[in-house]
Amino acid sequence: MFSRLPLRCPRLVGVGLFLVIPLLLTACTAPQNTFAGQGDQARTILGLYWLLIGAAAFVGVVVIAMLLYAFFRFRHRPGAGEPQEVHGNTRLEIAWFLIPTIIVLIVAIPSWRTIFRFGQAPPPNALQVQVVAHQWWWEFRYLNHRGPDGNPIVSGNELYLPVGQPVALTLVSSDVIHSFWVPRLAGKMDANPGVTTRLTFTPHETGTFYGQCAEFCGLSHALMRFRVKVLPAEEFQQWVQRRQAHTLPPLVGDVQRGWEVFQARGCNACHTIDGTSARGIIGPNLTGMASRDGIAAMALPNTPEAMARWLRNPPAVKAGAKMPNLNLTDEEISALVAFMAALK
Amino acid sequence: MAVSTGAVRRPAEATFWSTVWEWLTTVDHKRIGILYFWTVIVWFLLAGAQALLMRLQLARPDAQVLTPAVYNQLYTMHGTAMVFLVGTPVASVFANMVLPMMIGARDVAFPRLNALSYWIFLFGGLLLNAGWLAGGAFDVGWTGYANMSTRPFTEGIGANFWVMGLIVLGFSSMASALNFLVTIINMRAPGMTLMRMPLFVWALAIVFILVLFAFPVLTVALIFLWFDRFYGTRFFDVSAGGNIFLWQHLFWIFGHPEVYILILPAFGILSEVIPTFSRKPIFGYTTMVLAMVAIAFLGFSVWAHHMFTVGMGPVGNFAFSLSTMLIAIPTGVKVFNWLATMWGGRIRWQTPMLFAGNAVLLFVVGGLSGMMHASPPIDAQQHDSYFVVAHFHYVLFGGLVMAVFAGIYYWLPKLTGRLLDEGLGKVHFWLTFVGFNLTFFPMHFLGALGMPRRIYTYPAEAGWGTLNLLITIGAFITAVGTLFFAYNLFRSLQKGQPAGNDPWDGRTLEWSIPSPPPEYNFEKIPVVHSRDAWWEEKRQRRIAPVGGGSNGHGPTPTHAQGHAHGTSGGEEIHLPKPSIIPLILALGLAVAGLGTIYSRALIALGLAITVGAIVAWVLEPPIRGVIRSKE
Ligand code: HEM
Ligand SMILES: [Cu+2]
Repeated sequence: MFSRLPLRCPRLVGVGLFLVIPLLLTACTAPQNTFAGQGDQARTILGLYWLLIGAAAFVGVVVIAMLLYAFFRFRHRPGAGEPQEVHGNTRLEIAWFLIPTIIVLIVAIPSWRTIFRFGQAPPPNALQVQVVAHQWWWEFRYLNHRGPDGNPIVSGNELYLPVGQPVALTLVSSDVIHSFWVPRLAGKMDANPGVTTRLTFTPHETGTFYGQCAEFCGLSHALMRFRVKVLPAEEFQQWVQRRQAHTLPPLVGDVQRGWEVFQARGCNACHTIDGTSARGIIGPNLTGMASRDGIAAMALPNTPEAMARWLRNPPAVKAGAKMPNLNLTDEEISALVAFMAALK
Repeated sequence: MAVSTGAVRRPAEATFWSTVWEWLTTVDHKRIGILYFWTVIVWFLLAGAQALLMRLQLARPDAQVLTPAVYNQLYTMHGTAMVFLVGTPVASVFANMVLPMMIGARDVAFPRLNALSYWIFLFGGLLLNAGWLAGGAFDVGWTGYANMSTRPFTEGIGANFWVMGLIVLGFSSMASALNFLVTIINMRAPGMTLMRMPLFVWALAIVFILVLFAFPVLTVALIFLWFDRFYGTRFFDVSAGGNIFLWQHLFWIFGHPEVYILILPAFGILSEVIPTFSRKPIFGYTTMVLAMVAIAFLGFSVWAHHMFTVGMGPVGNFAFSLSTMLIAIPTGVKVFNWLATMWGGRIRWQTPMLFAGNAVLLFVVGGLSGMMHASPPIDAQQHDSYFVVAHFHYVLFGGLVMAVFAGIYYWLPKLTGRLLDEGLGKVHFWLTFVGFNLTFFPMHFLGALGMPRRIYTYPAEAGWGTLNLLITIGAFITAVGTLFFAYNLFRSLQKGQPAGNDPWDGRTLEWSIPSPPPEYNFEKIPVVHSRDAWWEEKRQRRIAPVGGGSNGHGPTPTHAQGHAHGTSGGEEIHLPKPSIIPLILALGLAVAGLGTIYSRALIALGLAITVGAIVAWVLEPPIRGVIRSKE
């Protein structure tokens, strides 16, 4: 379903102007490339970006060329006399003042217009999602879509969105300052404790988009990644309905044992599984764990071996992780791994 | 005429301990300059080594060279040291090394205060870094954002050392700033009006004004943080009515002027080195001064451009974008004036000029990337990414550090009497130039590819591996260049070519006196009739030669001052008395600082030492003696 990574590399020729071959080698496979925008905000920024790159490259090339010219042309040559003593030139000095002013205006006006455009209130049809950032994982609460208990559906470390529909994020943090950044969809926005910020954008393509916390937030800041899964509208609706009707998976064999361990060892004190008695809210909601791309905000890939590693000792995998080492036995771990794999 | 003790020349009869004592008690600005210089060099090398460790960790995806805890400490202390122990003191280093000589003064206004600034700087730096030894350094970034840096999220003792170290260092910067401002205002040679001051002096004067206004704000923020950490206040705790943005505002109200505190000394150096080596006066002196004043003034109105993504809303973002873009204008003026200074000149590409020309070039690149994040929508993609890391290294390393290298090759010989080696200098230059660009240019692309800063690891699938490897290679090339520099410094102290009074055919007054200069700099206070006072004097002498002052190597100083410009008759020279009290006072402050972390008894001891030292300071006669210069 998410196999198509919409990675397009237009305009790389333009970047090639910057003379860097490594970029050309890596750009097409870099999933957080800000130059491959797939959302309206990221694309608007990109348009502006090219204007500024153009202006900067122009100024840079001209000024550096003049500097280099001066370096070579006016180098000391044996036998040359003393240079003329020039103390200044009012006209030139006024020109020095006017040239940067004009260039500044050229880049400033479109920038400022964009600021106010991004600052507009979200359209009424926008999907409302609350983003709660935690050390070091993400919680997404779908305010328009409620479960049987009347509370919003919640997902952990993966944000599901319908393509083409504006989404109005309200961001907040439960601890320190974080920053929500999905480079290919939109610019970043901080998630602050106690203060709500907003970010509105529309994803234009389906696919999986990579995100990452951008504001240093402690020991495992580097491992506070997430994914945005943009689905066709119907698939998004199906996902919502699945979540709303979620219950325990069929309890057979290891899965049965895993669910027992889940309750007995207190996993449910921190984690929720929709439609079950597990209602903990300290850690990420585990509903749909089996279909996640990774474990612990992408600290590990989502494989059975990695899951076992994580359960054996979370802080050893992700420094400072707030999930403690529960001293599980091998048998308990393998049962839990089976249980997690059943949480479709 | 009394025996002159050069800046570093040792009297023949000196024993090891008497030499040490001389350095511990010195109040001579040149010696204090040398102390500052070596201290800053050591911090630069240490912070550079920390950067190399980081680069080893980042060279490959999923590397395991460093633990996250260590990486976070390294990036924090690398940044902190580079900003507060290398960049910020640059003004004091060069102010001490040459400023009084450039304005034709015998010393600074308050020689003992000057020594005090240095010793506080030394102890403050040690205090700041003591966390490394006490169980772990600070690890929240040089910006120390609260609430991350408050107790619930950063329990570690390294944070306490960081806060207290910075508070203590603030005293050093402010004392130094006050001292040099008074020096510049009161002690200029007769005839040196403000508009005849070398631009370097202007730059430093502006820096010191910025320091006086900016550092108190940082100190306030740090004290808030200290109170939150120790005394149960809740300045930064939103759950108790605190404000999560307060730290960021206070920090950047200090922090952005701080950026100009860092870069203006570099502008000053460039404005001396470029004219000297182009053999032309600076182009547009007045606009240069106005541009610096404008930059300093605007510099206080742009702080929230570091906060475009905190959610200030469009009006705030617009206002700070406006003021930020305005700063580009005076900055552009400066670059064009340097260009025009070189234009039509006879540029001699000796090492100081290589570094200076290069600094202008790299500063242009850093300025242009800065222009980009003055646009808030673009900053939303660049902020806290490697693009920003690229930007500020272009400005701080490419602009500041390169200019500092220029300044060192240019002025250090004045103090040591020996030139640095040109060959080694050129190797240093080219390795640094290549290594620097290889390190920092690709970082723009990493940022564009979405790599956040301050991350200790990244997965292979992020696609940042190749660039990071390239960057690490570049960093090591830079490091090799720096080793050549360090070797050059040590070597030329012993084997360097004698510098003579005026090795570069300089334009300003420091080149009119011997290298190393006598303790009192000028036997006769020069009288200044124009800008580039020494150059003008040499030119007049060329027109009507007196006593054979030849091009390139000026005449002996007695000659120079004896001729036309000295006031007639012997002059009284007041020699300041060396004093150990500044060292003891600084030690008292450091002990008290340590006490705030460990024990009240230690605070009491530290304060007792401090108060005792202040009393002794007041009672001690400041003047060693008066000598009369011969006519
Ligand atoms: C070979 C020379 C240098 C290398 C390889 C280097 C490399 C680095 C690296 C890898 C980072 C950390 C990025 C991160 O994890 O976010 C960094 C941060 C920093 N560097 Fe450098 N650097 C060098 C020289 C300098 C110089 C000369 C200065 C200033 C005078 C400087 C100032 C800073 C600052 C302020 C930070 C930010 C620290 C923070 O995020 O809190 N660096 N540098
Ligand atoms: Cu975070």
